[in-house]
Amino acid sequence: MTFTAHIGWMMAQAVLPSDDNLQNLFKELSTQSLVQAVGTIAIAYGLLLAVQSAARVVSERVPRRFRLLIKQSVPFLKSLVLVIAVARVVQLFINLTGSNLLALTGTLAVALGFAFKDYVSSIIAGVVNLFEGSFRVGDRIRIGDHYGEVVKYGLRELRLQTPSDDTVTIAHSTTWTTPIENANSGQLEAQVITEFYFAHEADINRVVNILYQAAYSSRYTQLKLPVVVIIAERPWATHLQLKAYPMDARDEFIYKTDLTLRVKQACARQQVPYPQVPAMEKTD
Amino acid sequence: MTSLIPPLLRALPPWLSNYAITEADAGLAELPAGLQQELMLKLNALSVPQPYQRAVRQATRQALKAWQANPETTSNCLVILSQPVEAIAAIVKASLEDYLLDCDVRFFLRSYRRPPEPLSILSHLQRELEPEQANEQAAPAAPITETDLQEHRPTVMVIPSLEQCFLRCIQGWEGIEYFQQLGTQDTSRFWVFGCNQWAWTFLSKVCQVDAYLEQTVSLPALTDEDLQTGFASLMAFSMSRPDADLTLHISPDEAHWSTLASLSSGTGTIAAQLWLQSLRLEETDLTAEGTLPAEVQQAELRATRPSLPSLTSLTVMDRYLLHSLLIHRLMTRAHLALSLGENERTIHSRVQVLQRAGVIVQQGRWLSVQPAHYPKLRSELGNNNFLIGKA
Repeated sequence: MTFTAHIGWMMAQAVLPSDDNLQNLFKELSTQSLVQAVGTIAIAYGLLLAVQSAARVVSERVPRRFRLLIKQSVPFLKSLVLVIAVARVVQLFINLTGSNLLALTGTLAVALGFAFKDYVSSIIAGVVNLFEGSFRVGDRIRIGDHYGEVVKYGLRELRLQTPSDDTVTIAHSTTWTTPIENANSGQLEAQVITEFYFAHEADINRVVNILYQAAYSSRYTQLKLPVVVIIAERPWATHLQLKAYPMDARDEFIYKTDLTLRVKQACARQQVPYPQVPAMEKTD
Repeated sequence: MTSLIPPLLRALPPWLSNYAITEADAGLAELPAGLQQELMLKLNALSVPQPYQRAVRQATRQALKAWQANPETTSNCLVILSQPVEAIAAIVKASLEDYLLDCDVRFFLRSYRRPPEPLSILSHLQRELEPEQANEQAAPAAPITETDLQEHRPTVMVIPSLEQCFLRCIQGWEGIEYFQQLGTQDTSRFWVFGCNQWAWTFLSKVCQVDAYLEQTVSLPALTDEDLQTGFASLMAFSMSRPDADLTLHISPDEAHWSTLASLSSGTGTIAAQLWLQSLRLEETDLTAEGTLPAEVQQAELRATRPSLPSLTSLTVMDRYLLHSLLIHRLMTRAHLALSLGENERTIHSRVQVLQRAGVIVQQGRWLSVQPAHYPKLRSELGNNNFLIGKA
C-alpha cells in the first residue's frame, strides 16, 4: 500500500460514515440533477475542444509575438473549465459539509491509491508543472531522450512534436524524476549552437570574422540578441562554436543549415582549409 | 484614447483588418489609369518638402559649426536618417546642393546603385574616394579668433545614400566599414551621410556604425499644413491631350490633410501615395469603360477620406523578403536572393505575388516597397519579432 493510500485509509477510518452520514452525504437523485450533470459534462467537453481548437488556429495566424501567449493560456483555460465542471457535478450529487468532504476525500484516496495511483500522480504532476512553470506550451524541451515543441498540455500527459514531425506523448508523472531541458523558456528565441571545424593552419581571425558575419547576415538571426563565437583546440582541428538566436525557435534546424551554407560558401571563396580527419580505427 | 485606435487597427492581422476600414463613398469611381499615372508623375516631380530641407540644412550647419569650433573633440560626421520609403539621396542632394556656399561641398556616389557583384562595392568606393585621400590635409587647427573661423573654408564630403553601399551577406558591409574608417581617420573634412532608419539600425548591430558616425538627425514628421503647402500646386492643374486640354480641380477639406498626416506619420512619400489613392471621380463623369469622355475639358476630383490599403496575408518568406527590401530600400532580385540565401526562382515567385498584391513596386530591375503599405508592414514585422527601425 502506498503512503497516499495509507493516509487515505486512516482518514476514511477516522470518519467512517455511519448510516446517517451516508444518507446525508449524497443528495437525492432526480432526473433534473442527472440531466444537469450530463449537460455540464457535455458543455465542459465542448469548451475543452473549443479552447484547444481555437488556440491552435488563432496562435498560428497571429503575429509571432502573440503566438506563445495564446498557446500558454490553454492549460489554464482548460483547468478552469475542468475545475468549474467538477465543482458543479459534485454540488449536484453531494452535500458538501466539512465532515462529508473529509469522508469523501478519504474514501477517494483509498480507491485511487489502489487503482489509479499512476493516473492521479500524472494529474498532480501536471498541476504542479503548471504552477512551477518549468515549461509551457510552445516551448522546445527535452525530457529524457525526447526533444521537441510542446504542442499539447493534457490532464494526464503532454505531447511533443519532434523535429522529424513525430508526436511523443509523455505522462506528466515522468517529470517528477526526469530532468527537463528547456531551450526557450517561454521566449520566441532559443540559442542555436552550430559547430565548425577548421585546419590548424587556417587564419583563425578571418574564420571568426566569417562566422560572425554569417550569423549577422542570416535572415533568421535575431539581431537584438548577442552572437558569440567560442574556439577550442582539438588534436586534429580547431573547433568553433557559433552561438546565435533565430527569431523563431521553430527555425532551429533550417537556421543551422543556413549558417552552415553561408560559412561554407565564404570559406570556399576565401580558401580556408578544412581539417583532414584521421583514419578511424575499425572496431568490431 | 481615440489616437490609440489607428495603431491598434494596424496591429490587427491582415485577415482581420481587411474588414476594419472600408470605403463607403457611393457614386464615386476610381481614377482612370492614365490619370493616375499622370498624377504620379506630377507627385514625383514635386520638390523635396521644405521642412525636410530646413531640417537637413539646420542640422548640417550646426554640426559643421561645432566641428569647426572644436575639431579635436567634436565628431566630423553627420548622418541624416529617413524612413525606408523616402528617397534619402534626393533629399540630401536637394537640401545641400546650393546651400553651404562658404564650404567646398563635394557630392559622391550621386546616383550610385549597388553593383551586381556586391563584393565589389568596396573597390568601387575606394576608386571613387581615394583620389580625394591623396590630397590629404591636416585637420584644421582649433580657431582662436573669429577671423580664423571665417578664413577656413571647410570641405564637406556628402554621401547621399548609405543603403546602396552594402548588402546583407558575408563581406557585404565592408563598404560601410570603409566609411567608418574614413570618417574617423580623415578629420580634415566634414562628412554628411544619408541613410534610412532600418539600414542604420541593422548596421549599428552588425558593425556598430553608430559608434563611429555618432551624430544623427532624423527627418521631421510633416504636419497637415506642410502637406497642404507641399501639394498646393496639384490642387488645380492642366493636362494636354490631343483633343483639348483637360483642367482638373481638387478641393480637399482641412480634415483630409490632418487624416493624411496622421496615417502617414508625417512621411512625405506615404502621404503622397495615400493622397493619390484617396482621389475619386463622380461615376457620372466617366464613360462605361471608366475613362473620361473626349469632350470633357474640366473635371472636379473628389478627395475622399484617406485610408491605409489593406495588407495581403503574408507568408513567412514574404516577411523575410520585405524586411530585406526595407533595409536596402532598392534591390534587384539577384541581390534579394543572395541576401536571403535562397535561389532566385523562389524569390521570383514570391516577388510576383507581392507585386500583384501591390506591396512591392518595380522600376526597371529595382524593387522597392510601395510606400502606402509601410505603416502596416512596420507593425506586421515588429509584431513578428523582426529588428525594425525607429518610427
